[in-house]
Amino acid sequence: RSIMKYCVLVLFLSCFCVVASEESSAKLILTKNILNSIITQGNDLAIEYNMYNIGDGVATDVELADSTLHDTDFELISGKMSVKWDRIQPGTNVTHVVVVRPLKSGAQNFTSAVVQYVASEDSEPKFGFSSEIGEVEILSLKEYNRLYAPHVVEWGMFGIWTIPSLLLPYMLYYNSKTKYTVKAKKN
Amino acid sequence: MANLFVISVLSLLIGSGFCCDQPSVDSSYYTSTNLKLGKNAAFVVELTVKCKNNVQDLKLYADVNGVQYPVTKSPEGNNYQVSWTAKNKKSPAALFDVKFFDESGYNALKKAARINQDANTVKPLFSVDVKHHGMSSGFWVSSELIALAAASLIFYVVCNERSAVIS
Repeated sequence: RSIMKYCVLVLFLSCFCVVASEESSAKLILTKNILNSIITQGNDLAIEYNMYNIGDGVATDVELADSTLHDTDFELISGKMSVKWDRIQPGTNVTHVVVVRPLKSGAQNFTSAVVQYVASEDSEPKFGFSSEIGEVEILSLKEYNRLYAPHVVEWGMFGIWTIPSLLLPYMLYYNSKTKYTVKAKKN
Repeated sequence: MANLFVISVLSLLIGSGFCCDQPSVDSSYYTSTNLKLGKNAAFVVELTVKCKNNVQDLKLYADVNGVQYPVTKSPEGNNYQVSWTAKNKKSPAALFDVKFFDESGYNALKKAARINQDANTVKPLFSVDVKHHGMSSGFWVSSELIALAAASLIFYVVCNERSAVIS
């Protein structure tokens, strides 16, 4: 009888085990954010994608694709828009960086990237969207230079223009000084 | 007997299928250099790997200064990319030796870390040098400062002359 009780208990516990192992699945959270503080037309813009596996299973066949940065608005400098990871362990995160150069200035809406992954063995691929960055103002190159360029040429021109207003009184002073010091020496 | 032969041949094929023999690497990299755009630095290394035994779909891991990153693969072709960032801290000029390991190398690396062995004993599949020039915001002295210094110098000279004349 005790053996029977033991068998029933083992069967009961094994049911739990089976259920528990079936439930381990991955869940991926994708965040997309801009690394720059200033975004300008004609200057590099780095975008970082962070993928966190908050589930308790391994995510396999993970594919990240960002089709929101069109060729007409952005020039790809470095990095690939569409990449895949073989597996992402639970509780870990991975990073991907893409560097582009905006070709147009003004307001630009940065929308989500898409991730596709297999959450648990033999299951259908799942889709997820990244966080959105929203609308961002891209400074024109002229505006950026106005604020951040070294302005060496402007200061040089300023120096050149101030020379006549400084030199003229100095020449007058110098002439009078030499005239009067010579006279003092003569005396 | 024939079965054994078939199994051994298959295992050899499968075994060689996962190891890259004499990889030839074509790499390019990008590092953030403009400090005016922001303090966060991005580092991207892109590579194309061709194995002598024509193995595709390599599972690579990159080691940068003791930190391991999984290497991503583009859906088509032999293009791989590894990228990392340095946020909210300075990124001075440095030469990064990025070591790439395959699956077995990565496991050996983790094992070495576990038993406190020197990580340099694990030989990478190949490595790529990334030269980071450091982040700069143009010339180290701003033009406004130079203009101010020049104006102050002229003012000082003129004041001296004036006080000499007055006294």
